[in-house]
Amino acid sequence: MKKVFFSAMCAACALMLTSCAMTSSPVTGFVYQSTKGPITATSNGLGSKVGKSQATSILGAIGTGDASIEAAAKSAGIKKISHVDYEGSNILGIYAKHTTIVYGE
Amino acid sequence: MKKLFLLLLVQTLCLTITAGNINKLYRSALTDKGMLYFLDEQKMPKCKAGASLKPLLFDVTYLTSNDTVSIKSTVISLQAYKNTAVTIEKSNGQKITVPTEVIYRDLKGKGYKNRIEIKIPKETYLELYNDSQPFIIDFGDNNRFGFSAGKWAKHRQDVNRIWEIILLNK
Repeated sequence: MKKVFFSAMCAACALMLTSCAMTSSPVTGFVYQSTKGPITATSNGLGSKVGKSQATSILGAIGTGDASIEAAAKSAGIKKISHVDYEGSNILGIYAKHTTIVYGE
Repeated sequence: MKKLFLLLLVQTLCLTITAGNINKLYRSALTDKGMLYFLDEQKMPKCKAGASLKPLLFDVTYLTSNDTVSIKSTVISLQAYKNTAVTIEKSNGQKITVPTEVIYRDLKGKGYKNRIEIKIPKETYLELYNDSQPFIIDFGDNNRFGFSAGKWAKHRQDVNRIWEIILLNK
């Protein structure tokens, strides 16, 4: 039983430490992370439109999506960007999501 | 050691489960025209025998100085969207026709990704969510979308909760 438990622990540690799905964040959260942060701001006033784009990663091995500012602005028809934020979430390094949020007019 | 491992596992599960809190479904920003609210993207299933390739994805933007709500939708369909209006069918059979504006169209596999904006009066939007039965959005060309009763109950509850705070802050 001890051996099985030890093997399971080793496998879990190997999984978590060698191939983690991570996303950028102002702080670290290895087990669970859900944070927001700034990317950039311009001199344009805050408009009435908000656009989002996102990319996801599984185990740090499979990453898909388009989290570009361009994609987020396009989704809301934003032509003048006022500022850009991001959101990052990560669960146990298994699943990670990065979202770019663009505000503008 | 076992207890520590179990404790860590339980804590992780609790964090993951409670992660679906309502604050993550919307965001707000202060502008010189009032508060800007953005309700995150939601998925509305396509109606049976619908022509669309995927469920409807839609987000909602509302500026408190306006009386209109902007709904931006992504429709993945076999045909490029060329219509100029959508029909919202309420559960009592009443139909509301709303003009559309295409933000952009892209190629998506064998079909098209259409990003479409509709603007509806705030009161009309709130009426849709006061109804205990789900509404249907018809983009034409058999691209029809609507929540199931179970999903509608959860979605409606979340949206009404968010609007409670929007209206309180107004």
